[in-house]
Amino acid sequence: MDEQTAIRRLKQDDISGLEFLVSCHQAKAVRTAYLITRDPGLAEDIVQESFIQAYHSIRSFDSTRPFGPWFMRSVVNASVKVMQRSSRQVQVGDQTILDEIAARAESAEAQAASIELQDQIWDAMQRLSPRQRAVIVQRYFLDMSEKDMAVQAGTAVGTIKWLLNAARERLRGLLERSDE
Amino acid sequence: MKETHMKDALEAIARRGVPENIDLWPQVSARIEGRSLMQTIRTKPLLVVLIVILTLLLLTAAAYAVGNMIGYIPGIGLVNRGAPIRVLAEPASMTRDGITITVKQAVLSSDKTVILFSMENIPFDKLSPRGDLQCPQSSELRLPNGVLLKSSEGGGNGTTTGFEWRFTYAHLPENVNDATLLIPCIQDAAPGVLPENWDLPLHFVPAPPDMTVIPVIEITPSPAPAPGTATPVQNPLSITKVIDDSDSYTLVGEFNPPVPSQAGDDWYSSGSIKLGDSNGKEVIYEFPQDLDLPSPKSSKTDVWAIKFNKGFASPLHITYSNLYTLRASSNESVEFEFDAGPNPQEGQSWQLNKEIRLAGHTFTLASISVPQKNSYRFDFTSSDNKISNVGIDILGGYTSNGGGQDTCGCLQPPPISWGESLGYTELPKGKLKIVLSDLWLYGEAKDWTLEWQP
Repeated sequence: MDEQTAIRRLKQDDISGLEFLVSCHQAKAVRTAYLITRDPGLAEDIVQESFIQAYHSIRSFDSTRPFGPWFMRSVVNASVKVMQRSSRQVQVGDQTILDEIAARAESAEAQAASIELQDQIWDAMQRLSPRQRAVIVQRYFLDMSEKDMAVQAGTAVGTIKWLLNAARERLRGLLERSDE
Repeated sequence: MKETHMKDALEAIARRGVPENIDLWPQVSARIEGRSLMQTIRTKPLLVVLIVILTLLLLTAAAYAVGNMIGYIPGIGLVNRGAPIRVLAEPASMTRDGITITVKQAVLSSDKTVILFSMENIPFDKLSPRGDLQCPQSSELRLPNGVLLKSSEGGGNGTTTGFEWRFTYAHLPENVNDATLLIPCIQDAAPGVLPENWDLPLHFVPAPPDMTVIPVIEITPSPAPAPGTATPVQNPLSITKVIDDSDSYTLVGEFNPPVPSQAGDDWYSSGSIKLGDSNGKEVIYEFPQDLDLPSPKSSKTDVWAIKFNKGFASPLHITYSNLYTLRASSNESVEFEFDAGPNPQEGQSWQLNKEIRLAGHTFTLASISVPQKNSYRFDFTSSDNKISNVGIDILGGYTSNGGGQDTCGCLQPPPISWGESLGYTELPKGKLKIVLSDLWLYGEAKDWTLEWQP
């Protein structure tokens, strides 16, 4: 079965279509929610809810469109919503956090897949607000473009560019220093 | 190349937290096929009664409270008090070009370092306007051996003359009693406008024996009759932590909403808290800014924290006003055509006043507009105040990148109005097929109460 067939079947109330979509997208979706919520159980809950919502709204879904981005949007939004309702916003400057993550990532370049380093990046992620965390996840985990992120975040492309450029500049500077 | 490494790191973290062989299908299919808890309750009431009895037997008869090794220092937050705590020997201050930065307080525990500092006499007229390049506040601690500790968390507030900041760093080794606070620039200042690269030397000493570290009391909720009920059942509203400060209390708690009686699988709840004393007088509270709230048990759980002054007539009555929002059970949708023209422009608006009937409810699509480049806004009105919002899609291969809702989130007297927006990479043009579906309705509104005796 391919994705379009699965969606067509689901629109005809054939639940095997949803089973196929769940099998294809569940791991990526739960990992996306996990990176935002930091809670694997909560992430599973959110993705289950999102699949059930997709099941109910599949009739209005355009079969010519890819299912993944449409579904991931609802997962990201649900994750942010859950976290915004439950967590205190960190008000530290965005660049501080991005610099820290960038620095950790640069270190990651030197130290490859160090578990310890991943823990440090994970800790840095914890210090982001849910929305900031979602932006990092969208850009680096879901490979979304800055333009798409800006539209989804309801902010200007320039704001997203500035935030991400700050991280890139920091990375470049660190790399140049390490090369000296 | 660098982005690849960030992506690799995030993927590695995600792989560690969520296995590849995860299988959600049994739960998803069970819920879709109706084997939900509510279904079980309806079809197997005896089994449910048995489970409830067993649960009640397993829980202790009364709440118990235990002090643990976590303490609370006002303004600093929760700290580990199982090891010696150090503090700033004396405030450190520096003035440049009339601006004064003062490190007022520092607390070093075995789990973290918290530093509070102020910036005073800031020339606000020299700060950059929003949108221009601005200094995002940050700080680092430099240890005597040159190691730099970046702040892990921080926040601040504006004052009439400047800013007050609270930053958290990793814990310092026991033998390190000196550090330098490095502040690269002044919040919101453009590069080069105000003094930069501040270095403030700090010295730490053991905390005085009389330093206030308030024990945090953790409470395990147990079944108890909610006011107005006779049967001991778990109140969905509970208190999990109590901090008894000299002149105030801080309560941390949670609300676990019961499954609404009229719900299918898709619902959520939202609520607000009100406090009253035994005389019925309202007790004013605030949200504490120096506490990290625990993670919720589930996506439906609301974790809350409130702080209020002592001196009220106890017991305190805590009321959580909960409102359910549920998806209408119908799978109906309404499709219609809308001509946006060949080149819709930002600021353009179309008055439609189109009556819509969906899932047994009637509302009006008053207008569609383009509030900003690449997004459409849909404004609705209705005399049916049960309506919360409706799902919107534009067919024809247009992938929306997200949207927002401008809804009340509350029951209000009719007529009501709400707006919803959809963003696109490229704004759909011409004759558009618009589909409205997924109507969400406000459900039962109910107040849950809890009495708390200090």
